Formats: sequence, structure tokens, C-alpha cells
Amino acid sequence: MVSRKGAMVACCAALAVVLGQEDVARASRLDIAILPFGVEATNESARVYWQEQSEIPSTRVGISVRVHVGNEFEQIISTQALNLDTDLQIRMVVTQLPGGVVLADFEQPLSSAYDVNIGSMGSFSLSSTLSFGPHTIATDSHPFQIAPLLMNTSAAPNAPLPVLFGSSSDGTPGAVAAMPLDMSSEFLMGGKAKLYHAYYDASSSMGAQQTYPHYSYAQIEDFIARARNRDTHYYGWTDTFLFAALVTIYMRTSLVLQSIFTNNTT
Amino acid sequence: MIAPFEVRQMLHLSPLFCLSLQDAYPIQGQRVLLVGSNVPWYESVCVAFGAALCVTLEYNELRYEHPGTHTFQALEWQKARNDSTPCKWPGQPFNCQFDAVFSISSFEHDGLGRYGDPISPSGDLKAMRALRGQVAPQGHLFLSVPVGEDAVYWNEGRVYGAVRLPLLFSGYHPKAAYGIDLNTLDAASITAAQQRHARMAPIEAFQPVFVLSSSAGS
Repeated sequence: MVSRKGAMVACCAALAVVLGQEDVARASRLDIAILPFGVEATNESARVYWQEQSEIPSTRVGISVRVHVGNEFEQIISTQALNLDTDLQIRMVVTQLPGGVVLADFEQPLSSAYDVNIGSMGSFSLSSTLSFGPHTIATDSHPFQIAPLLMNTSAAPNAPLPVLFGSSSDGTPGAVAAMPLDMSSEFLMGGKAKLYHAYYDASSSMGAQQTYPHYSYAQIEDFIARARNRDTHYYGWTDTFLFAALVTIYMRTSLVLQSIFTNNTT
Repeated sequence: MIAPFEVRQMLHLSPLFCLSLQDAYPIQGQRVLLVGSNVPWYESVCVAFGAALCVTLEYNELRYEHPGTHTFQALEWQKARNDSTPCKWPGQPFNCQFDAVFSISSFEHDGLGRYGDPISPSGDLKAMRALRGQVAPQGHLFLSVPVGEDAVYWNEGRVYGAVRLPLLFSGYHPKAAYGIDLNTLDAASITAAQQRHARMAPIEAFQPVFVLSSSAGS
């Protein structure tokens, strides 16, 4: 049973912003949003909506820092954050918005504090410590994400967000940016699967229909030699597992396993 | 440093691992079908392990210039099956069923549209069902998908956990698993296996290999 209460975030974003004097005016135009996982920081209506909420029904949150920098975007030199609970370094995604606005955002499990640095330009540098607390995560016994909560409880705390779910699919093959809303319950198995956003659009080199470059005889012969040598390729350990499934004789298997043990224990 | 015990667990080998070798499924001399490909690595594994025939099905056009590999676009293959076109390669006519089928990190993408396929919540399950007809009665499917907590990474792929994994296996008989214990596929055990893997290979997805048969007796 998943609680409807979600992660209560009493947001006390304590900012330690280091600014040059001429940038004070611009600093006043800085704003920070804490969003449920999967909500795009560039979605202005969702951003406004969630900035007004005191409760976020997600244990994973998106945090974005938006600052007006005029035409000096190119001088932003670094964007990184640190999860102060885990000391995990976070690479921020930087988006240049119309009107000289820079948006830097990241998604992380909810932490009590983050140290955010979105770089500097001239005398202007911006580093912020964002503190959140106290927060409670009331989920009964299971953590959850927003999507199954929205789709599978009759009293979901908030309406579905269009950025998480898209319009109905017309059956046309091809990549769509958001899971079709009318299919989401089936995709998520009635709330038993979590939804994450990892979209590859049609222009992505890793997605969409494409004709792959050809592999020559020599290249494939090289692969064959590596396979005979039990080298692993892109999937790493999966190849080792597959080799273990395919081995045919005791001695060869024994040597393979001894080799693995030796390689990993010396 | 990794303890031998952990390595044995990764490979699902008990300390008496020689007994586990009865679960080995050689492909030497067999006809092998490979489902989904963009680099001819598993085709090369197929050749290296002595298969008699290595045939690849893929949504997209492939150009693998090696006599040991044969590639088909999925639609082209399906049309041939619908037309009852016989399967024959030089000296090797057969009934279009394969002794072994490799599906390595493929079905988790089906139905999400990322590769130009139709959007379908059960695209992966349908693909597994459709594949049954290609596995010979005594044949085996070598299946590898991301395993962990049940999830959909839209539109990158699915992760199979205690809920979805049995659905994926529906219609098949699991014979063995490498990288995870086939007898304990509950949520806690899957999480534990995933965490073990993460310690050994922190940047890799956890993708064990399952060996499934299409009939109970094989």
C-alpha cells in the first residue's frame, strides 16, 4: 500500500549566493524550483504549479536553478552540484532559454542539502547551498515514484502532469517524448513499475530508425578472435554470463572460472 | 578486490560448480538465431563457439560482410514466414526453427518506439510469444534483459523485476540462469543480486543470462 502523503518537503532553500555588486539586481531574478521526478524544469506551467506546493509526492526530485544572465551565457564555465548527504558529485544539465535565461537542473534522490555551483562570469559567481528540511517521506513501507501514484490511487494528490504522460498514441511507429497517458497503466502494470524519464528522440544517434554502418570481413574476424579469447564487449559481465552458459567441457570451464577468480582476486 | 565467493554467486555456481556444468548449453553445430543487433558481436560469439548457422533479425538494415553471418530485416523475415517461404541456406534447408536463439538486451526496448517500433505496453511480451515459433522443440532461448526493480525508463527501455520477469518468461520453461539464482527471483533477491553486481561493475546495467526452453522436456 502506497501512501498518498508522499515526501513532505518543507523547503527552506537557504541561499549563499556570492555576487559582484553589479549583479545584485540580476540575483533578485534567480529562482529555484523543486519538482517531482520526471517534471521537466523547462515546463513553465508545471514549474509554477510545483513551486506553490509544500508537498512533493516523489522520493526523487528535480532541482533547478534559473538565473537571468543576459547575453553572457557563454561565460558560464562550470555547472555542478554536490549531494551533501552522500558527497555524490552531480553533473547539472544546462539549458539556455529565451530572454537570456540559463537553467541548470539535476535529478537526485531527496537529500537534506545540496551544494550547487552554476559557474561564474566576470565578477559574478553563483554558488548556492540548498537546504531542505525538515522533510518526511511517508510511504508506509515502500518508496514510490509519482507515476504509479498518479495512475493507481483513486485519491491521487495531484492531477497527472502532461510532461510525464503524452497524448494518446495513434499507433504510428516511432519515438514519442512521453508515455501515452491511455497506455500508462498497462505500461506500469497497475503501479507496480516505476516510471523514469530517459528519452531518446528521433534524431538521437542511439535511437530511431537508422541504417547502421557496415562491418567488414576483417572487423568481424577481429570480433570472432576476441570472442574465442572470451573477451567481453559492450555488455561486460553479460558476456561472461553467456560464455558460462555456452561452455561445453569441464576442463575448459574450469580454466575459465579459475581465470576469472585469479583475475579478480590478485 | 572481489572474493571468489562473490564471483561464484555472480555466475550462479555453487562451490560444487562442476555439477552446474550439466546446465551448459553448447551451440556447436547448431542453427542459431540472433534477435536484435547493431554490432556483430554476438554473431561473432556464435561463429566462435562453432555454430553451423548464425542468422540475425533486426528492425533496421544491417551490412555485416562475413560469410558466417546472415542478416534479415524483421519485416522481411515476417513476410517470408507469412508466405511460407522455406528457410534454406546452402546445404541447410530446415523448418525455420532454430536450435538456439540469442536475445541479448533487445526485448526491453520493444513497444517503446525508440527504434521505430510501434508503441505497445506489451511489446516485449508479444515479441517473446512470437519468438516461440522460432525455437525448436529441443532448442533454447538465451535471454538477457536488464534486471532490478520493475521500471520503465521512457523511452530507453524496461527493467525487469519480480513482477515483469515471470510475465516475460510466460510460455517458456526457465532452465538455468547465469548471474542470478533462478530459484530466488523475488524482489529482495533480485535487489541483492543487483547490488552485488553494482559493487563489481558500477557502470554496467545488471543483465544476467537466462536459458529458457519452449517445451518442458528439453
